[in-house]
Amino acid sequence: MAAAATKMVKNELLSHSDDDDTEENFSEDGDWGDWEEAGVEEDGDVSESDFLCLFCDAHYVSCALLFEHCRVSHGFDFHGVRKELKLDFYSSFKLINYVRSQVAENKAVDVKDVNFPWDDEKYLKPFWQEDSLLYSFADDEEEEDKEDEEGLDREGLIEDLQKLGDLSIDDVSINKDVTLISNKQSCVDGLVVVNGKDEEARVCDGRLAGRNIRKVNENYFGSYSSFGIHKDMISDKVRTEAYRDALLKNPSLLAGSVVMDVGCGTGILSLFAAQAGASRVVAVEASEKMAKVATKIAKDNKVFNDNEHNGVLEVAHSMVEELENSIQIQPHSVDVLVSEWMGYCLLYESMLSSVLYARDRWLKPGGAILPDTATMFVAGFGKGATSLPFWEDVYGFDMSSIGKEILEDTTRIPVVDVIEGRDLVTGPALLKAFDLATMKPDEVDFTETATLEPIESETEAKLCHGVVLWFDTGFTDRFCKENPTLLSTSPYTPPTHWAQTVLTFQEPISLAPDTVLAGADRSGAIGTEESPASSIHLRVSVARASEHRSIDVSLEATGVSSKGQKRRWPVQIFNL
Amino acid sequence: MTKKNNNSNEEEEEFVSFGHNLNTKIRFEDADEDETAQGSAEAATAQDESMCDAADSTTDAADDTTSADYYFDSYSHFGIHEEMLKDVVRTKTYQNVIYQNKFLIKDKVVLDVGAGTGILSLFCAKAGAKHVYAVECSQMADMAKEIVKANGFSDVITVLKGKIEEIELPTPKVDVIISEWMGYFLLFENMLDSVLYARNKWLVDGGIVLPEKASLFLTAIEDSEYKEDKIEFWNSVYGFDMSCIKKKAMMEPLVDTVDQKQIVTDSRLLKTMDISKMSSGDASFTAPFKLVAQRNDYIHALVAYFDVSFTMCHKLLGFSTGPKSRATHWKQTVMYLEDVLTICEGETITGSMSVSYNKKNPRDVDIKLSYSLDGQHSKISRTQHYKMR
Repeated sequence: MAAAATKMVKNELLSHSDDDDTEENFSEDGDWGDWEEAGVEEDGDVSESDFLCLFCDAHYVSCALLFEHCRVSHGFDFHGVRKELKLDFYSSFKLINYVRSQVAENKAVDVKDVNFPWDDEKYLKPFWQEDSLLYSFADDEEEEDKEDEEGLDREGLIEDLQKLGDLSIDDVSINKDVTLISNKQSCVDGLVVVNGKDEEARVCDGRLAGRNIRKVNENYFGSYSSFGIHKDMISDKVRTEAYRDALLKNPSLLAGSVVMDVGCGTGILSLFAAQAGASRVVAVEASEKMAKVATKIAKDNKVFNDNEHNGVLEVAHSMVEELENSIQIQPHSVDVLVSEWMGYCLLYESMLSSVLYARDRWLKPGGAILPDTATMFVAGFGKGATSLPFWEDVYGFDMSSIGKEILEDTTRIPVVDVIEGRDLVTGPALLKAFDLATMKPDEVDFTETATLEPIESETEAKLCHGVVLWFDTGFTDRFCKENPTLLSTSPYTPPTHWAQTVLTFQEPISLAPDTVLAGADRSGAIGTEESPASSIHLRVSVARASEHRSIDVSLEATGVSSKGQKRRWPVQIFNL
Repeated sequence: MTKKNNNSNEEEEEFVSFGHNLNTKIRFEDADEDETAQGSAEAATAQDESMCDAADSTTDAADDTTSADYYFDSYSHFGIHEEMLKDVVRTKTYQNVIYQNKFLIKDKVVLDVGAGTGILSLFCAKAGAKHVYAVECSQMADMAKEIVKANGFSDVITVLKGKIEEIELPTPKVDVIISEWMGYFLLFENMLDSVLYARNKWLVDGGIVLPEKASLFLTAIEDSEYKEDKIEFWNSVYGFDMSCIKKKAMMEPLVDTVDQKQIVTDSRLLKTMDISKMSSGDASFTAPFKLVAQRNDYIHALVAYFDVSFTMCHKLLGFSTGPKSRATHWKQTVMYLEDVLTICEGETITGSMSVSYNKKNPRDVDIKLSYSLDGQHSKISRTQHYKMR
């Protein structure tokens, strides 16, 4: 997905220049270490200094002058528009290309259009080959400090070396507790490709082997590795505050209760439970490292319970299935079971089976499980442009085989990405609802159908490139009587670290509301632009794969015409 | 929200059939497993580090999932290459080096170490190299082969899939070695060793290495807001004291973009490496530094960055990844200090930095930073350890 791919590059580096592009010589910046700057000339005659107006033939030597001219003579305030619409580098880049292309076709340039007509992947490609404006418009804002930060002072350094002599620094606070913490999570996470505009999705950027991405950006090396993932989860306000509210705002449920936290991590949920007045909190954590961290944190917050301490919180380093080996606990003795077990696409990595085990073994009959419902939704997305255009011309070389490979991959590999409501071309449909208090463990494997319908207000056919999956979990009034709450990961609500899961169709399906389709008989295959479908029937199966904690998702789409004719595409299997 | 049942019987159905059903599965590794099932696990290398097969990475046996089961996520792998190719500073500089200095490449035999998509090899072929050997150990080698073919350079570029330490070159010597090996903090990921290995084994006497020089620099910044967000955050998490995590968090240098306005002191060269002459051990070093404050301010972190230069060019070419230069995908490396230093203009922070490769996992970098400020408002001396994984 190009949208995904381009978002991977978090910083403003976009530019796939042509072979014979203007000389961009970065040697001029910064310091050069050993040699003198004297021998290096400035490239004064580069055509970078020549900018062509967006609307007329006027030439300018600086972007500032050009944009001022556009504002005064053409009524187009580029910087003003950028500020007002909060356009980032990419959007501005696209805006310029959009304007140029509209002007070339004598069409109107509409910056008030809330649909952001320039927000199309095609505008990432320079409209003009040698459009130096594209590479310089952002420079106005950066104060390019050209002065050398340091003409290496070798003599000075040698002098200092001699003066320093034996540098004896007190090893004041070598932390003796330093244990090598595994950062495996953050690096390993990266296998699920996640791209995002917001902080919350960064956890996945850290995982991007590349980038991004970042991020990838952001950091495919997991710049903030070891505890990055926990920081990201705790920083995910939507997530943490939903749990906090459920635990702290339902005193009739929590006060005096026995609580079990399955997969406690840093122990944040257990801390909330203790704060809410639980009489006993059992925090279960299978990772030795995190169990130690949770223990320390519980001690630091004076809620820890063991021979020496008199708190309510115990930490058990154990799998929940073997709990009785680690601590004293009777079956069916827990009043409230809480866990944050949800993975991407709800079920990936799913700890759910452990949670259900705990429910069936440790929870009292009628005891509370938080959350108590989980619901999966699906909707169709559009404009899922591929990154094909980028790979077709890389510094003058044809790397389209990579673009095709990526496209093929996305028809087999789910992509985790933040999708916005406006990227969707259909309304949402409910795919599967789980009642966590009563469901059987095998029910995590399911097959369900759903119908996607185009958005009624659409006035033309749209290409549906695939589907987006997301979930909600409810802390309903069944147990949370005072303050029921909902944790949603939908594209319509603020993004969470789960983002959404994208499954790309092998072939996009053209979709239009009946109002648009009404009238002339259309010939041609259903789902093509000549004969858009009026709805898409989906059949989705999710099953645990043989690979531990992995899931297989199968997706079968059938385009249905307004007359009821159908066209079915071959099933696609995705492994997550 | 509607949920309708699919009426599978009635009307005519049209089946769309494609050539073949793509059923191959690409497995993903567990995102949060460390939190759940597995026991303690040691540092696993990120996919990018082990661009090559997992057998490469030295991970603990205790870590089940990174052993033979490790599968590569090709999608995110392409993402890395896309990001690197889109890094104009990086790619365009190499392109300029090659196209503007054809005399270095024309009719020469070139070795591209860690070729990736093969972009550097393509540049060289276009510049008239006699032959180019592009060595790449990951699956990208297959893509590189296709790309070479699609661009009509199959008779000039030979893609060799494998680790440089294990492949056989059909020629005893090469004239030029070209590589983009630099990692975060210059040395992270440690591809430098591979380049040096290739140089020692195959580079002809008097042959050239591109780039030839790389230097690491240090400077100091004010960064209260970010430090608050990343480090101090742990002091109170929804009212709970999680500060024990803070110390561990600070040990990991942060790769991020530093705004040049944050820079408080001058910069100091820590180390210059001459790739054409150095030995592998030279990448581990201890260097003293002295940073002079350019204004009154607070210092929260030290920042490291590097530059590279191609000295053999007719006109000096290269680039810097410093905060005053145009952004690259390497950004800068930020090391937060335990103390907040209150510094006055003209005062100096003195210290030394030791860099070495982790014994257990040679791709990781261990940094020991000793710093000292004897100023009007702050008198502090401390040593901190960092680990880049």
